[in-house]
Amino acid sequence: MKFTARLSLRLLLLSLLLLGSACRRKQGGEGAISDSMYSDVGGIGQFDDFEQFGLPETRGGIENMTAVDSSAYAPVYFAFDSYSVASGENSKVRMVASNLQSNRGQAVILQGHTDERGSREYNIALGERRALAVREVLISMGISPDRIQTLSYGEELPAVAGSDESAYSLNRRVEFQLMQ
Amino acid sequence: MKTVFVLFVTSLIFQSVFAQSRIQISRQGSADSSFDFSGFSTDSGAGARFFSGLRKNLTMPSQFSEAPPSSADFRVLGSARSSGGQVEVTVQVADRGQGQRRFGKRYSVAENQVEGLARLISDEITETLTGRPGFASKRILFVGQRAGSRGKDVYAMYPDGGGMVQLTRDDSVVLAPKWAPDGNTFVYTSFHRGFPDVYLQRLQPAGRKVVSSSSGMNSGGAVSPDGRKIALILSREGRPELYVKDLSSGRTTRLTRTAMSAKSSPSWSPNGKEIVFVSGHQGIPNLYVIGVNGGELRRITRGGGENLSPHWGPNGLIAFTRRREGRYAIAVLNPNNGDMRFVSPADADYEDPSWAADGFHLAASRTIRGQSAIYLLDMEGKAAKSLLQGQGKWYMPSFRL
Repeated sequence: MKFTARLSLRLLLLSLLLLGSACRRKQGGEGAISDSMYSDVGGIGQFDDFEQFGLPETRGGIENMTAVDSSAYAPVYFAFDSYSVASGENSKVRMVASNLQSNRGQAVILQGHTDERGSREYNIALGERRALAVREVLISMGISPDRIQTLSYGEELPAVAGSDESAYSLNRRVEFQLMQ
Repeated sequence: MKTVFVLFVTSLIFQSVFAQSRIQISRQGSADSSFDFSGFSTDSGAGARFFSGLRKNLTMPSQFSEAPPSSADFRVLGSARSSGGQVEVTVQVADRGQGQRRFGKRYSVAENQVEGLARLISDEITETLTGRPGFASKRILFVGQRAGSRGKDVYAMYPDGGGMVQLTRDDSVVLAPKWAPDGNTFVYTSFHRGFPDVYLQRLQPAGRKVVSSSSGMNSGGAVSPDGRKIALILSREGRPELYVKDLSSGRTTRLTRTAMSAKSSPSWSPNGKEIVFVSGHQGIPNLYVIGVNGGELRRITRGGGENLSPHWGPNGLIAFTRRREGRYAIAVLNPNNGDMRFVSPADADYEDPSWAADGFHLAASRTIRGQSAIYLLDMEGKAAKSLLQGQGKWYMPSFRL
């Protein structure tokens, strides 16, 4: 009932707006009808601080560092729907830890990926969870958390095309991108 | 010259009684009322475009059907003709039985407004005859990846396929655009700065601002029904958790604290007191409900495969993606009694449902052989109509309520 009442109110507002724009003889854009469709009641917080493209600083400046060739470091692979780092994958993480220990000016972005199954949004979280799991292994090996950033692409950037398990198993991965 | 006159409106006597009975009928058997359009006349230009739009929108699946004059429940009468740059439109809807007039309006609009007018009148007729709001004038947001392009952006269109517009220029990974209740703002996740950040974008006047760009993942933005808060999934404390950010004060509160689970896709209950979201606690993702002030998690999906992408509709029902026999399907769940049913066909993967304003139809993505399209479904599983397909991948729709 409330919903219907709200809708009636909106139709009323809509009619008023139609008449209003008629009086002002508004030109351009999508016209009076379209304008009125987006003039619903209710707001959403403060918009005074809206900015067109300028964005605040984030992530400790790692985005301003330069990518280092990281092809020597193999991705860590995962089982389906899993974010546990298998013990057989630990040696890959250890190579990265050793490198970070001998190159104090470097940091690392852990890029998490999933296979294509599941929702795109859930896969962002799953890939993030995988990157965070590798991060925990790196921290346990003595790397400072502030030198590690996680970046999950979910299923958006598969390493291998295809919809079978051989492709899936290569796509469930965390890649290392060293920065300096 | 874009003058619009609403010259006369029919009497609304008996409409509420009529509407009440129609809700029950249409909930039991949709598309059970039919129109005869043969009494409507047009010119060959803008008037014909108006009529085509009206007819298309009224006869969307599980709205109304078309029938010959002898058997149609309602007759659509009137005309649409251009005259000196303006289009004069008269629309009446009459009962077949007693010939009683249910709807009657007259308009004068510019030629480039006839499509919009057809959507508005379709919605008015739908609400007058069924008691349910129409959705013809409600835009659908979605993610698009044009053929040959690597990047993605947010687009919008009307359900009849008209008015398609590209709303962002990120050309990057873009996810989950969702309308805010004001209908002038939407929230989405974009990688255009390299990392997943959550943005609010306003249509008029155009502008965008960052909602969340903390370390790690920022995703899952969903604005509360009162427009004051936004639900988010953030990993800044070391694991993905559900947060609520107050849009006025900027204060961010963590609602969940769970070891070892990926979370995504929060959606607010109609009264704004609870949030449903996805959590993969033991590997398989399920739906959980939590109060906006935190507290105990309540798991609301059992058995089956993965459960993803919930949308808690204004009708109180939760539509979501559920794995069924090797495919993704759209299911509708009553969170109060656990009743659940599938509403999508088994011919492809259907994902990411979004309720329409009538609480009866849904938009969803349909994927087959790597190609994604936007489809219209209904909660009785009768409708499955393509709204947009081809020339790219189109997915993750959000229907304006």
